Amino acid sequence: MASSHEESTHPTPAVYAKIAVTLALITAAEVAILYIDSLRGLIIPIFVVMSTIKFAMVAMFYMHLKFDNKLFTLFFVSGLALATGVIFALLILFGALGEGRYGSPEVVSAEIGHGSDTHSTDHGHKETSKNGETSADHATGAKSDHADTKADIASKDSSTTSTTTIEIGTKGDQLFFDQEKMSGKAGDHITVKLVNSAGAQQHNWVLVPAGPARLEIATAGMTAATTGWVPNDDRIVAHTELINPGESGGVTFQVPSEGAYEFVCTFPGHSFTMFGAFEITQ
Amino acid sequence: MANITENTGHETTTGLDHRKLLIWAFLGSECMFFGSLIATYLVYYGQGTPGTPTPLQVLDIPTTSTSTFVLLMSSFMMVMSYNAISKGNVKNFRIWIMCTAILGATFLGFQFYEFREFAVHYGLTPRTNLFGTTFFTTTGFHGAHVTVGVIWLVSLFLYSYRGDLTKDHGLMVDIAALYWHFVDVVWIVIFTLVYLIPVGVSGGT
Amino acid sequence: MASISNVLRRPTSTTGVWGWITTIDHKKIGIMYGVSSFTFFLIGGLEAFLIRLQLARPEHAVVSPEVYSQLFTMHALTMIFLGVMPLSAAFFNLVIPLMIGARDVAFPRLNALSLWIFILGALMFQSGWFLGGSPNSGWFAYAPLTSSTFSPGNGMDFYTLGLGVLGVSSVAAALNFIVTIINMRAPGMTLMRMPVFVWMTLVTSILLVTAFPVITVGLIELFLDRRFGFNFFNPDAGADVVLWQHLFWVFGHPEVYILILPAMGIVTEILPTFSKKPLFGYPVIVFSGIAIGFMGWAVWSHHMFTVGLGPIANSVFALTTMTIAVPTGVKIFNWIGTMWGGNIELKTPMLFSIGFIFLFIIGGLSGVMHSIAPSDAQQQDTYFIVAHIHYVLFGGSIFAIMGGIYYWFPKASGRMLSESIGKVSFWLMFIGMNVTFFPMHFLGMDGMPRRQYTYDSSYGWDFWNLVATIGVFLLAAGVIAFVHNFFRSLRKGEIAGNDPWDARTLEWSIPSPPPEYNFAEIPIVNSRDAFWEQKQRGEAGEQGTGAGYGEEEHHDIHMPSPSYWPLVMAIGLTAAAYGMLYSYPLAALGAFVTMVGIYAWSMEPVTASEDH
Repeated sequence: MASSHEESTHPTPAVYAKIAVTLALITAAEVAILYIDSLRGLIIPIFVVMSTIKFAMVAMFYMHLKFDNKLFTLFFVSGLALATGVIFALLILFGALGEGRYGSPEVVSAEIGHGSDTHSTDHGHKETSKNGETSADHATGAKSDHADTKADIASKDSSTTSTTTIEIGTKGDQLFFDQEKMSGKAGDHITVKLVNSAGAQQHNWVLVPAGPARLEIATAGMTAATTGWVPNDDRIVAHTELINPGESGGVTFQVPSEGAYEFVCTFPGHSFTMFGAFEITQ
Repeated sequence: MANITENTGHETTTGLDHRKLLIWAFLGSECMFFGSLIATYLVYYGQGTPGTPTPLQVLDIPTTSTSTFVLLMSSFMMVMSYNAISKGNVKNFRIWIMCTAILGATFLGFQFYEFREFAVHYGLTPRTNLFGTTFFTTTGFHGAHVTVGVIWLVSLFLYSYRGDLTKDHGLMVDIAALYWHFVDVVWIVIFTLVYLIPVGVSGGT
Repeated sequence: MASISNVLRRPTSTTGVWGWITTIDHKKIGIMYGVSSFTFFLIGGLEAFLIRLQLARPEHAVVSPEVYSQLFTMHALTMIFLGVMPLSAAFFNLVIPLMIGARDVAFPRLNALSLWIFILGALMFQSGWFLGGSPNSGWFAYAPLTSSTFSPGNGMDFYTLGLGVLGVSSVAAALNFIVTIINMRAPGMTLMRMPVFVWMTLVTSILLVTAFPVITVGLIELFLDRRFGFNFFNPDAGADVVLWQHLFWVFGHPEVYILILPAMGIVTEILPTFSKKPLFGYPVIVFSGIAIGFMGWAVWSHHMFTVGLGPIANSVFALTTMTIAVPTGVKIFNWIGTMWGGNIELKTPMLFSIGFIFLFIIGGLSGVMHSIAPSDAQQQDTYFIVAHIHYVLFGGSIFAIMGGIYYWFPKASGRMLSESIGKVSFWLMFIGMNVTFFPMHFLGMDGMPRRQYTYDSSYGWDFWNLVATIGVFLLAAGVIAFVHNFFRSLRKGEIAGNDPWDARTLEWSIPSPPPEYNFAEIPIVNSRDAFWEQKQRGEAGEQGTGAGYGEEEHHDIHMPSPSYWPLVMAIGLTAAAYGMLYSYPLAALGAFVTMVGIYAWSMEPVTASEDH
């Protein structure tokens, strides 16, 4: 009588134990790989493969799918495939894959203060095409192909101490800057250049004290239509003009000597997601 | 074409027990549940509130790999306990299943410790920022599933003293085991996506 | 052996109120689903009636704007979750085991659990009206309107908790039917010999168990945001409120196929019976149903064309949406092919089924119009969408369900519904439906938005709004005629016998109403339309005449025994839900009661006083 429990090769406790050891070893290896710098570029595929092996071993042997009626495998794999599909679809729709936020070294490095803050705005550009911008192609923001408009850029070879130029861009049409953190050395004169790679949005960049001031200033800015949505507020350290889509513009200013600051776009409604921390380094 | 199952003695179209079909269909459904939680986590990953804790600041790989190891070993114990009961060995079954439950509870202990560290030491709660919200919810629901599992296993242990778990080749244990292994594989996914990959990508060990 | 289940002695009665409360018999459960859901359907109809009264004239003030928001929200939620879905469940319960030659479903107590969770959850849902306000954000509850800032009060918590509880009922029932259909078919009934209604139930059940978890997660996230200050939909924390829309519609689109596939299944049973012809293209109809189930996962963002997802996303979803019209169209051609050249009998079930085809085509056409993303930018959120919704859900699901009621009422009750009242009811509903909803196409094209409390005369919407409201009176008359028919026929309807329609599937081979054990002998199936084939061969004999089905016979068939525990668990779960809203001790108590129910249930044997 055909029965689901008659398998030709029912695993023995020894097999189960070997699998347990394998699972432990793979886990140990995963942790070890974290310390191997040279593998960092491949780390996502490596971890995906290793976890898939662990997953499959538990499913096929411990959960017995290898030996049982294929109907069980069908149920489980269908649910798994559908869930994976939904996850990927959402990640794509939110632009969170690849050059988006998840798995993006820039974001995680920025969080722990690694590396320089001068990021090319290629992300913004790639992001744009991923979201299917049909408006005219934007020139890469990294180069100065954009005509500097009436943007208020002090000349880069200013007569004061050497000026660093920091570029910051937007993530295509999403209401995000492409960096969450910027920094400047206390007392330095720096130029912050905002590259607006959006297809249809205007943006600005305003440096304000950290904390409630950001939203207060942004709220006040909602009525400041004639001044590029920048209100008259003493707390503002520096700000760019309102930059049109596809253009760039900047502001040169002296970094304060101390304190906690944030940058924000004060175009009405953008301040909820277009902001970041500005760190003063000594 | 109706086959009489060895298990229950009544005929089913596929020869499989109703309850096994049920648990597998349920696990397929649970894939969608955890999938949606994980999707939320991944979509929001990297959205920070300046000045609040970030994943790389708080995630503790050594501790979590230990708890992952604990949970993986509990799956081994589980499979051994089913092996015992399906052979009619109630005494061994009891030992193995209690070990499984203890390891499961240990995993929960690690989680509780981690949650407390985050909240007390780093000031990270679900309200603090999006990472807090998504992290605590995803791992919290997983932990809730583990808790249900531990209660289930202890119940089976107690039941073994008054009822007959060897019936139907230990089907009742088989079903609990499937649930338990599922919770384990979900953790494998979470461990990889929440802990290993972000830490690995940033090189911030 | 002392046990919890001995403290409360196992119920044994199968009659009387207690018999109904503790029943695990799929037929009784189906009837209870039917009666309760039809009642909620009437409540939803009342809500619609008030909406239409409010909109009959410009600048009307039948209700306040606040109440109006609750009315349109609850109308949709009631009709979908407390109306169409449980009405479908009523048919699953009454008909599926009979169609596959089984004595009950795979898990009878789980079945009862689904019923009681539904009834209590539905009551909880409606209790918002009396407890400070019902949900008022539209049935899709977009964030951040639903946050505690913008929706203070408990209304939206009734939404999250109520739908969460109802979801448990639906998923449990769906799991039950998946196992039943796969594992309890009569010998010889291969998958491709099952009636199409069984196939559609299987596909619907698979959609339910995969789609509901997604909305459950969304509801949990919204609940946590509202009640505990989490940040899932908090823009200040960097959250994206569009995530709610995605989670909702990833569920919401399969949900509409959950609403229509059973209806299509019902129509697919009725048409061959009243055409005296086999179904045209059985394999194709089955595969189209499966295809619709699959493809339904790929279209959800067509509800979000105007959110700003970008041209690529919009194009992809527009294409997938257009594609899903193909299997639907295939089914329509097959239904027409079934009727073509047949010996058509225009009894009430057939009228509703033909009405279904006609009205569903109209609804489908407007649906395809929505799929054209740029065009949808004009249609979205206008009454054009409202027109589409009601053609497919009322003209579609409800008409099919009405047809199903007329078709299977004789089987469930042993009596026929009146044909003459039935025809009157049909025509009133058919004409009323078109008078109400067709003008909404015009209103939508003229720019009238959805969820609109009132309007100014200068927009030129007065005339069609008035016409639509008049249509509602016709509709209501048709429904009232049906209700009258129902009660009258229970008392005085013509006795039905086993097979009043000379039908094709196994449920017609047994008495009406069936005995508790359904089949005296499980039939052996050799083909599709097995019962019809039997009749043609002159073998319908004993089972068909009712001989051998007496009350005192068949003691050798052991049926599962009634049980309290499903009801106890349902009470516990609902109490826990109320507790999450009002009082954590109550929530803990509810959870405890639920646990007690689980333990007692698992220790209780399937059949009382087992002697093996």
